Amino acid sequence: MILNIYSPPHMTSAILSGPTSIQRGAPYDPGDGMVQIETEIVSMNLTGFSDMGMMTASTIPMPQSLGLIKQQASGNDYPAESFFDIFYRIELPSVGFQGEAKFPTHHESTINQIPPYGSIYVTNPLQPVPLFDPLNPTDPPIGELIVQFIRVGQPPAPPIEIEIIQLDLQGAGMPILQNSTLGRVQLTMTPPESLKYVNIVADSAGSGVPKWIAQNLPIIPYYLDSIPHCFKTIFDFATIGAVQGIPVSAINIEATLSDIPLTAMPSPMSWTTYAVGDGLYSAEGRPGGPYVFSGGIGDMTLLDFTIPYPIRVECRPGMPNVEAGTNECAPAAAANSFAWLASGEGFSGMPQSRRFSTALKTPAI
Amino acid sequence: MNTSSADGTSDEIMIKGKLKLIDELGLPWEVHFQDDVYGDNDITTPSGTAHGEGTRPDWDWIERQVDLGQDVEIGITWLDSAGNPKGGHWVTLEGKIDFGEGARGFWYRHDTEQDSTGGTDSSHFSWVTMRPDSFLVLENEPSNYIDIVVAESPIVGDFIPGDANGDGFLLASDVTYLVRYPKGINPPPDPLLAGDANGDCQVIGSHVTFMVRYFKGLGPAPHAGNCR
Repeated sequence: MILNIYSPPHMTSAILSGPTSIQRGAPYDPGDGMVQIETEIVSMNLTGFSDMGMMTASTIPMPQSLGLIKQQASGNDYPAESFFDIFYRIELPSVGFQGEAKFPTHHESTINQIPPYGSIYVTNPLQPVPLFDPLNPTDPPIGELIVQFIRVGQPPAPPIEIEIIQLDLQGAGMPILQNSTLGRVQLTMTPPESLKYVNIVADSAGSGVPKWIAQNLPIIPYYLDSIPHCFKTIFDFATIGAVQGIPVSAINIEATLSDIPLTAMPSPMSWTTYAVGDGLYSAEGRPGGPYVFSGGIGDMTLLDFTIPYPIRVECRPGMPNVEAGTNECAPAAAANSFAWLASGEGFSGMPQSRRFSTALKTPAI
Repeated sequence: MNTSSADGTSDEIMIKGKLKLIDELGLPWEVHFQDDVYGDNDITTPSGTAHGEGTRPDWDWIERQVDLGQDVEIGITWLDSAGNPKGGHWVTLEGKIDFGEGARGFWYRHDTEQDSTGGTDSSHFSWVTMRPDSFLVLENEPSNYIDIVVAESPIVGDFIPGDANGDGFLLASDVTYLVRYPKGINPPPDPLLAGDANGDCQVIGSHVTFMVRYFKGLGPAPHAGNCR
């Protein structure tokens, strides 16, 4: 859900997500030949972050937030018209704001399945609904609410695929430094309904002492990018006992997916053994190299994930990735960027990315 | 860019190469950058001018480019075990997450598997911190700091702030357009800043409220911000 709150002199907006339970009645024909199902929102617990801190949306107990699903044509279950009239309760705990609507917000959609995964319920009419102080409900309104739309979440995401790599390091034209003390985690997962965080703790050298190798890696939600995510991050393998030149065949890790950033390791540990693969890290292209890669991975424990915080996330689905040879990161990065910007601007004269990259490598002046 | 397989591409040549290609292709784009060497000085060639906008690549500048829909490349300088600069690398920014001062991070396209036959790699993520001398650091990479960022942006002509659908009028249909845009039903406003109703250089949900209040006579008229 995307919504805006105006409570003079403040105005804020947020994207909220979370579980909502719908109770459906039995299908019946009201006499017009088109079957319908009465619905009721029995619980709603949406959360998100605005520039005024955490925001929650729920429904008030009474009046009920009711809806209906109705066939568009007799004998065909889908497409069907669906709507909800929702009496919202909005809270901004960090500023002590509580507001309840005395009038429902009407959301409607045409759906093709039940539950209507992925359907968007638009607000119609799109107009502000006054919010009242629940402790002084007869006072004048304390704010206004505009819910822009609701999108029904996807089915639960499958588990995260995790791959652990011990990196070989190579400066341009230099011998490969085998089995370094740098590691890489690769995550692949279907985008979750809301922003979530992956935490991975490893058993240090089999000692049972847990060490972070990835803390609060953010997983972009599907409403920002709907395709499965695959991304990597580098970690310091030495902290869990890797020694330069010695291959590590397997490590024990525990991976968790959390709704909020973790500030402490999960406990108790439940180790799972992962085979450690082999991969190359060779990344250069600016004068002054070759670079003999070494450690230097930062101390992530210095990051501050305490809440409340206004989280801002932006991503660019479909960013190209051209092939790059040794020391070709500059034309590759420029080609990726140009191709991405051109696609967004609808520019049709852009060369294909590989030709583009080649053109960018030629003399400039 | 006169890229050499032995030594890569210098920052100046990279920017000049971009200017040349933009000119050759007739792209309506301008180049701007933050760099510790050029600072506020422009780089000018017969093909055009790239605008220097600061001596330190800073988070707010990068974030603003992303919010405005511009492409961003990040130049990393590697540091050897003694802390001395030793070559570097370019990556393409894919996204960002910002918890405020406590924790910030980038997703980026990062070719870490270069070889003579070419190679690609998937997206990477790194937390970003700031050194005492104000250089940003990618913490999930070997010792480094960010010393240059470059962005391209479409050259923006005249537009009416709040005229999201670009029909030349401020009407309720602009509110509908702004509501439909984040749902993917409508393309972004063209230019994107036409959807920036309150002049904060972003195109986000609160602008719908701003526009609704304006049309109800409860709030000020949409206005442009200083977004560069």
